[in-house]
Amino acid sequence: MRLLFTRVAVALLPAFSLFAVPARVLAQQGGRLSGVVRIRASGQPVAGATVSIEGLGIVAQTDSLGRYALLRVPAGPQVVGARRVGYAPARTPFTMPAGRDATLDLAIATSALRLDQLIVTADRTGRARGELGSASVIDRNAIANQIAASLQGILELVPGVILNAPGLDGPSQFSLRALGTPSTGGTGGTAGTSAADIAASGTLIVLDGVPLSNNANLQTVGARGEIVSTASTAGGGVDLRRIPAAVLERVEVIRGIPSARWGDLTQGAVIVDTRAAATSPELAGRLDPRTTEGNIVGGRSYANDRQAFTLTANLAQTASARTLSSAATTRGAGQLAHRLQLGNISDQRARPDGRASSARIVFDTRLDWWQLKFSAPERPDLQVGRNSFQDDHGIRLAERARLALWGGLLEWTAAIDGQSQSTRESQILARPTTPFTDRLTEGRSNGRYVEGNYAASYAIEGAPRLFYSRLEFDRTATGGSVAGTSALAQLRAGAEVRREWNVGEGYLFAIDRPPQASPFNGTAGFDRPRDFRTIPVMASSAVYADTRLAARIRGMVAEIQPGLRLEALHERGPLSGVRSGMLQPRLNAQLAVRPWIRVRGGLGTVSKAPTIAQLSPAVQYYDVVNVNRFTPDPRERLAVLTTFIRDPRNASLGLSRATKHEAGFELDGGARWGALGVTWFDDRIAGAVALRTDPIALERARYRLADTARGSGQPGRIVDPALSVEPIPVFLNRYGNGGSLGNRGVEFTATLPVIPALRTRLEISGAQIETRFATDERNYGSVSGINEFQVDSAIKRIAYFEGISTRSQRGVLTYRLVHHQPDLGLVITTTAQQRRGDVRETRSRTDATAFAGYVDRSGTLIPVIESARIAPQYADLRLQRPSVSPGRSVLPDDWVFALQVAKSLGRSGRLSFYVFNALDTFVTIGSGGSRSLPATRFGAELTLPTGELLGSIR
Amino acid sequence: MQHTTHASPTASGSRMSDADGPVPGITRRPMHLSITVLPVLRALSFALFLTPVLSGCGGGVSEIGPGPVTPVDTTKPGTPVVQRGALTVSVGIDAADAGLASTAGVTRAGLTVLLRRSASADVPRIAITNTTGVAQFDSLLEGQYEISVDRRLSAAEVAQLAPADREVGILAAGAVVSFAPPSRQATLELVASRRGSLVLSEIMAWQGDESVLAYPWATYYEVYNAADTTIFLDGILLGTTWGGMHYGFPPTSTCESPNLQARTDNAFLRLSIVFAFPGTGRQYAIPPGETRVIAQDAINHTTVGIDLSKAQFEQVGSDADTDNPFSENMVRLIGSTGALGRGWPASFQQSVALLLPSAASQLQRDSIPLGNGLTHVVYRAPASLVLDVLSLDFPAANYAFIGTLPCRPFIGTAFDREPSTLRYLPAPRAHTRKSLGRTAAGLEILQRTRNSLRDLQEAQPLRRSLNR
Repeated sequence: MRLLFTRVAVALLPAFSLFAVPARVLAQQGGRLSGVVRIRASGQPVAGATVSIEGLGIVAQTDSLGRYALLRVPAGPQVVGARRVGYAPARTPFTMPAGRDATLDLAIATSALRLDQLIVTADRTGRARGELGSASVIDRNAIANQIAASLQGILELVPGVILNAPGLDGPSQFSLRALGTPSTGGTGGTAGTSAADIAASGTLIVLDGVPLSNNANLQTVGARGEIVSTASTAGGGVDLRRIPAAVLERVEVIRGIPSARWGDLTQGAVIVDTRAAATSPELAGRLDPRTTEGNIVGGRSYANDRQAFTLTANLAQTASARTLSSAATTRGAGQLAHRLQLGNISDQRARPDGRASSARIVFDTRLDWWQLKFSAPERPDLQVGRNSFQDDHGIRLAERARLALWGGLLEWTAAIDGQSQSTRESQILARPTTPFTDRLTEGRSNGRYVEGNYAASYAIEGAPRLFYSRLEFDRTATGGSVAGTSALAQLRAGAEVRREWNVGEGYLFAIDRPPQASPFNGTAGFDRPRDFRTIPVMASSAVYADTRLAARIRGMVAEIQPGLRLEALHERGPLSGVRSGMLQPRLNAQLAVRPWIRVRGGLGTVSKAPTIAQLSPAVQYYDVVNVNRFTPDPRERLAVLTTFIRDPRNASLGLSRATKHEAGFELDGGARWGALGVTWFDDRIAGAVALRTDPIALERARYRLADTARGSGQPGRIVDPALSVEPIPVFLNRYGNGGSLGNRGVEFTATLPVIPALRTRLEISGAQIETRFATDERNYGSVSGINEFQVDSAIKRIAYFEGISTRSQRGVLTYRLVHHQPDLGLVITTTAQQRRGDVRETRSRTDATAFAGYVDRSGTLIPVIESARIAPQYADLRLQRPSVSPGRSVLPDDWVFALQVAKSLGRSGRLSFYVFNALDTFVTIGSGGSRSLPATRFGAELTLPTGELLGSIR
Repeated sequence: MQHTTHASPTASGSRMSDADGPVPGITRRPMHLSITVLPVLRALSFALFLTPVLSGCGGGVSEIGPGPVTPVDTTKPGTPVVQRGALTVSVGIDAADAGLASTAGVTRAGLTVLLRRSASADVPRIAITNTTGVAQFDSLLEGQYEISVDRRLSAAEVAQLAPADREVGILAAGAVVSFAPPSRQATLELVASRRGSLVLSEIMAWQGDESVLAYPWATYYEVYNAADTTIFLDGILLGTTWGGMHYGFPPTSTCESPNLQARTDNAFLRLSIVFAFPGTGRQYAIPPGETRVIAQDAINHTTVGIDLSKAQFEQVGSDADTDNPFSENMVRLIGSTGALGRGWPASFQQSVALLLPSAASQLQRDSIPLGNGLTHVVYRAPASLVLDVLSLDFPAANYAFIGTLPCRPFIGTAFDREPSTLRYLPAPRAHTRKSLGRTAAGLEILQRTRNSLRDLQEAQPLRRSLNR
């Protein structure tokens, strides 16, 4: 692997050189673009409007005279956007001349088009900053109009995402462009990694420029757990409940092929910016029968706006359905953001707003704190002795330093993220009297007995740590205009390193009351405590480079963004050898035939590292009973067990690889003509991390007993050597790159033309998605069948099966009808979501010759070719495939309806009422099917601009 | 006692061997469960009997009529009212006992028919049969009803019987019916009680709910020597039927098809799990009037307050199963090592039989069609080798737990006419045979009318044996 990595690195060098060439040739610093934003009808200047260069992240605000100035605008074709609350946004194509400044006045409309500024869905034509792949851009306006308690609720604006009631119910992970699929059945009582978990862990969440990670989350006892905690997303994606919706400024969901900057993903990336600027203090609250939430945001600048502080705080609680449990989830979150700007770019002329990129050095510092607590205390009327608690909290310090250097921008991003995760579960277990040992090393020892039902409990104390650092240089260069042709080249290159580990106390329980002993059959092992601090760290590193080339030819603008990323998963620390490496070319292209029509496409390779739990799974214990002599007199009892320890680590486990393809077009006719965007995609993950169960064999020794006279008061003893030794087949769970996950479908967003007379607009978004999931998992039949095979030496073999796969398919259409009464400050948003063709399918052979072979008592897999399976000697194997129920289930089509009525209060205050699943009790669906929708929820949100009430603090 | 593997004492019996099986002479019944047995306790009853057919099953339909539906009285305007109806019960006498009844002077007239509504605190009602043996109950609500007739013989009536028949103390009949207005007819046949020889005298079955009885390892069978001579248990078989045989799983399987033949066959009893008492012929004697207990685990089950540590026999499924060295291990002939290798708990939804040792060599492999193209393997035992049978079914109130409804009869009426449906109780209670008195020699006579519904009653555990 190291050799391969070296070769790949060497191969990359020319590629970097290629990128560097146009940069050198074309290198010139961008110019200054300035102008005035006016109201189209009256010509009056518009203060406080946001003006930006689309896709480049160059932003400014107009002053009181409507003036703006954008610095370092690259020469070449650009799209300049202008927005202001209360006005329709404008997009103006413009070609920035090379080597000089330019002026561009912009006009935005009021009145008839006032409705259009109320973006209540993701921007259908937006682009994520620095990205050319398809994206959903959700700005502050859309966020404010969405009924959401956390980031998960905001992501419902992405096409094809299912609506849910606002709240903190259950762990919340986001699987971009993927559906869950039926379980593949698992083997021997273990359920493998699910398609939903793979897709969620492959959806990168980037918070304020720094990726979040769930790789070090170890809050699970695994699939064999008898007392299972469902309060964590261990094995899946980041629990998005930790990010309150109220603190979000902008969310970019890169659905397509991300640029080479982003790694450790297979699905896409969600780029989240929180509110951090001089902001008038704002107090917001939400109240519904189950969720209570309060939020405060405020910020101020000083030192001539060279420094700014922003503080956000959020407190929320959601109670579970009272009829089911007294459980509740509580969240606290806060953030302190600080920006410091030093120096000035030498050729800088005063900007009207005097802020942002005019400084030579900008430091953005974020200190985040969050806590999520889930508490389900005992409800004796439901289940005596059952308690469940989860307490996750974390603090993260992130720094982004940007230095204007060599005509470009050198950016260093670093973060240290420390979390504490505590899971506590207890339950009364019904248990037969069982021989038991807590031996921690291999060997034979006298055990004792665990008798009858008892209260078992465990705690998992985890403490994930993440260190992340990225150094990136971004430089834009322009070429001259020749015969009406102009060009732009933007080069970006960087390197990142990531180190993750867990310093928690680990998996803890009372040794004599094992919480996970139900499968014990005389060969399976009892759980042992595990110290997470002994688990090796995982580290990865990457170097990347991409360029964005644009050319304007005869009124058409063509853009391509090729990139290369070399990702490496290391053996231990970032400086250790390479365990797995992958070269990832990526390419996005776009052609704007006219300003209102764009066609685009992309393809690329991405990868995802295994989690720590997958790289370093707990060793598996097997406690083989040699003697089980349970006399009425406790003093005479004798239990002898031999402990075997097997390490399930897989040295060849490495990065999973995904190839992504997409193509689409966008028509943008503005408020008058509406807009339409359609994207086809086909994403395929090969080598997804999946659980596989391999048979192995242990040995059980039989002994003669001595000194076992009744009434002796002594337990007797075994006499060495063993009388006989017999093999016992057992099964070892290993993670491997044996999964394949395919997602394909089509996404679209359509905005119908505004109906001015009615002040109403209809937006439709949706997706048709199909997910296929298969693993190389072998299936050995039912739990009881495997158990019998293990304990009954008369059973010489059992069949094994291969080739199970699952498929899910679903269509989602979301209609949002927005009605605006500007005079009354009233906005009524009705949302209807239709779910169609929800199909879950499990495919496997179930005929008598479906078995692939058999396992004998020595744990050896012996395949049987298809043509031989009908032979008489395999008659005992020709049974219906157990534990798998192939077939197709179709959920009836269904829909959910939500209503929100918002009233403006003062200049930026807001009061809104909402009802989620408003017509639940009035709806019947065909085929007598049951509805899977959450119950009707109604509530209210209030936002108070406390700063305006108390007077401006700026 | 060291763990005993399941070598058969009659392993050379050619009729018992599985021609297709991997190991000649071993009659293991493959159990392939289609659901994951987690949580183990909750699913255990399914794992025991039902899972092979569950994958294609939906709701349930009673063998004796559709489920209760409240009809609406449309003859009156306004608010609908609940209808009531009449149940007509016709009482007859089993053909095999007709002569005996005639000799004793028992006729179909004047019999007292008791009607008790299941899952209800209603006061039982009685009706007297007319000259044709018919009694009628009017104004009944819909529901499950237990109807029964006990005709005890007076000393004078017994005196008229032939000497060999004078142990008969009672003729009894009983059945559970689903009643829905406006009317229904039911037929009962009185059967004379016979002492038998080695009989099942008590069963502690696992009820599988969330109460303390969720602990399934304290179940047991108790056998009683009702004969006048010592019986040697060596090689005698203890077998149970497959629970799935007694239930319908619409739409793939109903009570009419495809398991009807298996349930109505009076010539053969179909068994799913078979154990044999250990011994080579004369090792384990049971004198007249004495009992022996076959525990699932012969230990003191303090969790449920049942001490089986002195049980004479126990099942040992695997090395994980506690082995009391002072309790003899039963020999597993047919069936697996049980759930997680702990042996098979006595359970509801099954019939339990004692068979002569010679049955071991005469068991024939058979299969019960499941209606979905699959079959379940069982073994047929000739009726002539069956010593005694009892059947247990969940009470009606617990059908929701099973998710379907039972089929009647459970097995051929020559073996057992009606399973017991004793009430579900929050504390461990055993199903024990009613006592009809004692012989002149002082031996207790147990009621044995081939009708578990009538022959069993609830009782404190082990009163005749370990707790005597």
